[in-house]
Amino acid sequence: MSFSPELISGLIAFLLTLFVLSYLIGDQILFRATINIFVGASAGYVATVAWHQVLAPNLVRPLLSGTSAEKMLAIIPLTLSLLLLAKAIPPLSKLGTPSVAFMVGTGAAVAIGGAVTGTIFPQVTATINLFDMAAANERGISSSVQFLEGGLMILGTISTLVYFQFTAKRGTDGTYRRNLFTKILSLIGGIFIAITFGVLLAGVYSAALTALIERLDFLISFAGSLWLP
Amino acid sequence: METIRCPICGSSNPGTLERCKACNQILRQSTTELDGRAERISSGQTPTEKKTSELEAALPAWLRHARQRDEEEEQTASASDPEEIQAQDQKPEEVPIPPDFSEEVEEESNAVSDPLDWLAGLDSEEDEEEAADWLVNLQGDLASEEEIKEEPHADRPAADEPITANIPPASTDEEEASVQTGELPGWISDLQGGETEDSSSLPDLLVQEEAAPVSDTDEGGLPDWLSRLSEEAETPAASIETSPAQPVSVSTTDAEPLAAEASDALPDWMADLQPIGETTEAPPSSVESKPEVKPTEADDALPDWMADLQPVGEETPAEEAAESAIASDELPDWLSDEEKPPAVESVPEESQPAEVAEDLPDWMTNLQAAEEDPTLAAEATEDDDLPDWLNTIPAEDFSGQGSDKTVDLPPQENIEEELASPQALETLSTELTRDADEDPTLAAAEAEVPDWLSRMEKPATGPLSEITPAATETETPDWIASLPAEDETEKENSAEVETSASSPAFVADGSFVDGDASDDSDEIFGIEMPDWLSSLAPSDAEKVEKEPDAAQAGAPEDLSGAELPSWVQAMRPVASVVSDSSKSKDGEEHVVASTGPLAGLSGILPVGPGMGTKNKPRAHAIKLRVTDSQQSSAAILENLLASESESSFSQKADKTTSLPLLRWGIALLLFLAIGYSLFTQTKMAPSPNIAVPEVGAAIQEINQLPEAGSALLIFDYEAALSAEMQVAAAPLIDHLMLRGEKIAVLSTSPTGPALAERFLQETQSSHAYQQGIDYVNLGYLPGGASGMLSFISSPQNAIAAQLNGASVWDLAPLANITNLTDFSVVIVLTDDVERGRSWIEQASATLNASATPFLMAISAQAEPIIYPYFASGQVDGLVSGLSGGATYERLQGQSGVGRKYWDAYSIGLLLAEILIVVGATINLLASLRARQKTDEDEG
Repeated sequence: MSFSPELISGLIAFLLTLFVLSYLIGDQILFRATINIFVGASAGYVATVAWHQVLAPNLVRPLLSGTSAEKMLAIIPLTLSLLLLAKAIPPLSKLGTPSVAFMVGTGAAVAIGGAVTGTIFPQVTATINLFDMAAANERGISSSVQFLEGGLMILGTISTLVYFQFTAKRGTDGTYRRNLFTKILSLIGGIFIAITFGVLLAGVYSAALTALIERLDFLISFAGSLWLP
Repeated sequence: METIRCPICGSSNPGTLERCKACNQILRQSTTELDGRAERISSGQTPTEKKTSELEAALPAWLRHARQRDEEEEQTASASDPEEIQAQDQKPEEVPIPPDFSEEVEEESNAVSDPLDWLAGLDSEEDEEEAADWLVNLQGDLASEEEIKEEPHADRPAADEPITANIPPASTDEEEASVQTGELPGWISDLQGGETEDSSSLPDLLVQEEAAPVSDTDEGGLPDWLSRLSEEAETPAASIETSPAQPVSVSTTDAEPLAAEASDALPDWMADLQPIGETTEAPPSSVESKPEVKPTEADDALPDWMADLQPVGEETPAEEAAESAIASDELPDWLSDEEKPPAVESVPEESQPAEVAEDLPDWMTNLQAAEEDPTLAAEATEDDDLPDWLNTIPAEDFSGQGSDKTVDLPPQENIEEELASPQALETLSTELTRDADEDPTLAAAEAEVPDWLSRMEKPATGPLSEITPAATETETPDWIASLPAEDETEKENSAEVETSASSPAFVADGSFVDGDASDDSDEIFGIEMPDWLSSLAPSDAEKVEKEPDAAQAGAPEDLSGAELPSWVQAMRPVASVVSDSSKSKDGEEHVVASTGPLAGLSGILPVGPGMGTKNKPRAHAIKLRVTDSQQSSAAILENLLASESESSFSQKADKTTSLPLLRWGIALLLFLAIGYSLFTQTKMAPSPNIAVPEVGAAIQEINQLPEAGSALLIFDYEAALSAEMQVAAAPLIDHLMLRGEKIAVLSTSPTGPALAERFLQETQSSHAYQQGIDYVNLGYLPGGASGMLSFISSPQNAIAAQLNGASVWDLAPLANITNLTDFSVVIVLTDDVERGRSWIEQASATLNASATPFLMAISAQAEPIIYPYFASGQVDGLVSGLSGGATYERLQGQSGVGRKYWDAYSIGLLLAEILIVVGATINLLASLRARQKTDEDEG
């Protein structure tokens, strides 16, 4: 039996997998050690990637061997980066505020713009288009089914929004109560939300189950490779 | 006859000589030596009162003779004609005519100049035509006083006798009487004589008043002795030896009998002057010359305090003069110094007594020396002993008139010769100083006078202090009148005169105030005089003019008005100032600051009404006004807080239940079910055959891709879910590679590029894609959503990666790629909802506009969120999780990892469903049992 790199890496992977599965018996050192190894390896890898794929080609290389225009342009991110490093020093943390402001500002602008143009308007439009019977007929779907599907979608959307509406009128006894229609929509919305969370849980369980299957398959395959040449 | 042995040759000489007959050397010591031994009183220093009566034994013989002679004369005069003396005392008001001085005499007197050079210098600067009113009034007063004095001398033939330096004037009984009275010191007569030169410039009123006694004189308007004096003054020799102002002639006459008679009645300072008469060979001016010459000159050149002195000498009878002479023994040194210079000035050169020169202040001595030697004038004027106000006088005043005044000031050599007994005089000076210090009246007076005033008055207090009693009778200001001991007590008891006379401070103060009543006083006393002093003086002078009677009567309260200037009061302690300055004279209230830097100052701006209210603050109710709704809300909040604060009862779990048996059991079931499925490779569950539109759409999009295109794969998932992502994306990527698409790999996760490489190696190794040829790993795209947008806008600007020294954009997979839409298909592999949605939001619009397929392979946990985007058409195809991958394989007719894991996945889902149902059933049964138990308990 030769110790090939694949065997060594497989063995390490096998042990680390067992250490992670050892969490079944509690939070113990094997699990913590494995987690720390994963976090450390990931951080080191991320730092390496950041240097080789971000700082070196986009900042260092233009400053050292770039043209004048590239150098001038590189001064801006260099300055912002140095100011951002000041955040690590409490007395000088305010110096990093401009860099943070720049990042947050641009990120928020991009996210909001994308949400409006990529989520709200298209989703609203899609919900409305569910009642396009002609389009449904073109797809071979009957109008009743399409109407039911669209109605259910409208109900789920409205009921879910109503569920998160917490305004109510105050009764004669001083308590705040929703009206009956709002209560019904809220209840329906709650059902839709429950189903959504169930789907999400099923998706998480499905993803975890897939990972477990893959790890058990690895363990079985690696163990079989040890004893079954 | 006193003889002096020459210190050089040893020959004996008469005492009157100042130089040895044999060797022509100076017989007496110089005054400078004596000055060095005697204590000098500088300006501003309080003189010490002396009791020189104890030093009678130390007096020189000639002085003692003079005193004896004076006593005899006094006895004779009082016994022969007491009524005449009494009449003289009552006459002053009836004969107020001073001797008239003609222009001729004035010119002559100009030649001899003023005995006090410094005053003469001042007079020379003044324009007499512009003399101030106070000076005119003063002159008038002096003239009236002179009238009192001149009348008894007008008819005297002896007064008409010419006075020469060599010939002593014939002394008559009247002259002797006047000598005995000691009415005026010789130096004052010198002053008067010196001022005759300026009498022409006096105001008309003064001239008219002076013109009255002219009728009593000769046709030239001059007394005879003055006429003679003028005649002699025309000759240079006479002008040198004779002084028109010869006040010292009273005591310095050569007529020894006369001097001896008067010596006893004369004051000490006069007695000090008598040796001049004894020692000098040249006859001094007669006694009559003193009152005749004195008034006009003194009026012009003398300040008020000088003027105040004159009436004393004129009005004081012989008895009072004798008593005042006793009082003069207590005069301070500096006072004596003031008295003696005129005596020295009036004495001819040969007859300068050394005693007088010794008592002279330095500045006076220097003046004398300056006149003798013009080269010393500058030094004399710059002497430190000079008063400040005198220093302000230009030196030209002295030097310019020095030629004319050399007669007045004898050479210093003569003074040195006249020092008969330096040791005795020194002792006398010391005693005088000591007595002056011990005098409480003087001390009290000095204490009330500010320093600056004391400095200025010191030079003037000497003569004033001696003659103040008489001066108060005629023009005594209020403040002098307020001194009780100076007025009435002098008249009644001559012994009290000594006490009142020894208050130089008050006398000088009053005289100073009077003299400052005009603007000319500023010129006289220089620039140093403050404005307030100038402003104070007129008011006091006006008081004297308006209320002469009251001033004579003496009102002690008048002193308070001029005691201290306002700025001096401001320097006093705050409390006293506040009480005094709270109200002004006009009754207007002034705010006085009691604290702060302006403490003690009045007239400050008061605090405005809006700068601080003293009203009480409003009383606010402490009780809250709460409505019912607010109370209900408060009750709800209180209940919430109470529930939060309640300690929840934690039921202790049983030891048996504390073990994770259920967790271990569930895990064991999963491991066994999945393990068994994987280990046996059974195909218990059929492949998914249900219609999955998203997977079908994805397959359709891949199938529609052009050949040899470039697909962009975005690996945005983490290593933990790499197994699921590989299962979901493997059939899609395999399908894509089967289509021959070039692949460009990009990741917004740092670990994405590595996972992409692993993905391609493990799942797509069969396609044998090579880096740089078949696929390109663009690496990590930083910036999150911003990076995505940047890449969507311009892929080449966002990614500057290089591979083997060449830009990745030059490689085959990216040869024709400049924009995002140049890719044949964009496939996003992600397990994160946010990242998947970000890509959809940023790229869907662009890709949809260009009809570029946008597919996604996602984790099952992200499907519920991402699926609506497929439903909306923003995503063209979707492969989700293991089920999506297995479905894709089935639809593609492949048997891959999806199918391998499908049985285990199905068993795991089934087990999970069973566990959920079992668990729900158990909980339902538990709840039903609990309810039954409750019902049983209740039933």
